[in-house]
Amino acid sequence: MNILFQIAVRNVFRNRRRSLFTLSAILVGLTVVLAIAGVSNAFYRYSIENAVNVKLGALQVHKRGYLNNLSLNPLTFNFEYSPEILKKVESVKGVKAASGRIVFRGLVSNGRNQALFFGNAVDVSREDNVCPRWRGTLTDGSRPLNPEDRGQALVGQELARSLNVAPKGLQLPDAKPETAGEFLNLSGASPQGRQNAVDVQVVGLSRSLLAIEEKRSLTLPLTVAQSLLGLEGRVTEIALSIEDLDSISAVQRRLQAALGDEFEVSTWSDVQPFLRDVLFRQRVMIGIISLILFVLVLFVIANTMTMAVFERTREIGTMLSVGIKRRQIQSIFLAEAVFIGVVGAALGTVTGLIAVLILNIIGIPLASGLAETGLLHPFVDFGFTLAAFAVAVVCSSLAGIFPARRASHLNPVDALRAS
Amino acid sequence: MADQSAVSAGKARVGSQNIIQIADLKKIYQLGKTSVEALRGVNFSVAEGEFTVVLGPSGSGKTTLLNIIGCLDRATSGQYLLDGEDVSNRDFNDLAEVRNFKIGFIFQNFNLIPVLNVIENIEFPCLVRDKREERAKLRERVRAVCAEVGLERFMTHKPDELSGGQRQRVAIARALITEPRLVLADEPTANLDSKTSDQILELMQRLNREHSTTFLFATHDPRVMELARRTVRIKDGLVVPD
Repeated sequence: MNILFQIAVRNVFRNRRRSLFTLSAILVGLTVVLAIAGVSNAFYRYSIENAVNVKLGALQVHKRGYLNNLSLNPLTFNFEYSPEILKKVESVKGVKAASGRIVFRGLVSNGRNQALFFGNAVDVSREDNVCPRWRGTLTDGSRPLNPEDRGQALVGQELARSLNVAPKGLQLPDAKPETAGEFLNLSGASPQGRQNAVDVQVVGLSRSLLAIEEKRSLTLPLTVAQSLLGLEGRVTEIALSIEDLDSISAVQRRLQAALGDEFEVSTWSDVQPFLRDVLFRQRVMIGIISLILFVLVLFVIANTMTMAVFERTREIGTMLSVGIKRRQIQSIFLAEAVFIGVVGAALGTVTGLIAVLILNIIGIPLASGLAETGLLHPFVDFGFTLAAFAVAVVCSSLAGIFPARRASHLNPVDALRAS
Repeated sequence: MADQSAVSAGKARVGSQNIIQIADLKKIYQLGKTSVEALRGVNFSVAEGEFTVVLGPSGSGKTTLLNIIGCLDRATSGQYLLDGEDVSNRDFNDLAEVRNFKIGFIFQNFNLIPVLNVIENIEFPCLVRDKREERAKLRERVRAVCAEVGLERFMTHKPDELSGGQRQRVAIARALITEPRLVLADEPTANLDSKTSDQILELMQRLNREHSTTFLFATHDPRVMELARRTVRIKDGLVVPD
């Protein structure tokens, strides 16, 4: 081993307490970064899976122009819901299942009050295959929609409360029993503007992560919406589940190619940009927190190295007197910083992974209780772990540069005179 | 440029060649707005194989002169030839090379590297060279030098496991391993008891005799002065004639 590197390593062990303190700073920093990233990853995956499995489906097929006209009259972008189109989309590689829907707006009334609702009409016989957890959002005492249902609906918890309706046998906490009911009247308009109304029986109350959804959402069988809106045999979207969420872009491309220009294929993030932005911002925050932790680590190491240069000034003078070059002095202190960085980062990676593993096994309870198990299971991927390790090492090296330069620019006479 | 008569103004001649030739050497320190002239035109030379003592009270310019002779510092003006080579205007890395190949240092505080053992401390100057000799050959030489200075039993000891005398022996061995043209010893016996001082001085004298290594001492120790074959006195930044 090179003598300069030997000096560097032995000096790390020489001042054990300080080296341990520095190593601990890197170790704690990296552990916290990995743990935060693990929790963030779990929340990211949970949010996506929640969106995909509860409501959106991984991919959605619409008539071209639908997404750009959501605020105008999206119902005009309806298309035939035929066995042929289902077969066509389900035969694309990577697609697991497909289910037709009509997404619309209308007014809901209990005979006394009226409210705006966002209707989600689903093909009950197929929805399970596309959004396997769509039934999981129901409150206790509710029953899910069945393929045989012809006039039943699920209502957002808050909407039900405001209209004082509940499924038979289910008492809302602050409802007035004398006015409570289980039937609602829905009114809507066909794409051509023809008004229509239909009565539905409330069989379940649904919950959501978003309060606005609980106040406005109403889920009903596709056939009910088709007759209400004059769209018999037609839908406004086909939602799809896919084999592997990580290959969503490839499936999207294949599907688009199979369907041609008449249709547009969107991912969950295209149809829910709000969710995408929230998740993106969350990731940015994690990045900033990690950066702050790494900068703190950098300062701790820089401080340690500066102290080391001060304490070893006469040694540096001795080395200079026997003819060591400036770059060699520099390399001793840099090697010391890098050594501390590599050891600290390695230990920090191990403890970080252990922390993530423990959190993964124990699970973090979710306040909303919407997840299947009600627990988040943190995880980190290899790429991020490697990147965090590398950044810790790079930070350590950067922290060593200034003290190393300072050491290498000492004047031999002054250095030898140091006490 | 100093003239040759000034350069050859030194007195004693042991070998045929002068190792140190200094002419009209000046060193001015800038302390704020004041200039302090530490050396005011020093002329002196040391011949190969000499055992010379530089004497002078504090503030006489003795340390400044030794620093310049040791290539640790540079003169403001004047000429300094070391082993016939002008080193007056060399840059930092060049001077490092000169120190490594031509000068050995022995310090009052021994100045060993605490994390290296005796062998490593001794071989250190040879290991920092760009072109290194074969490690096995170097180890062989280190062993020989250790034997010469009486350190055979302590070769794997760290400096803090050695007595003051043993540490100074390591410093002497480190100074000799590069086979330098000149060994500079700054108060080498100041931190040693009288018995150890005598042993160290005897050792240096023997090395001077057997290897014709040139020794230049800065000391106040009367025992060193007794042993010196030549004494150079410095006063107020000038060499005082005997």
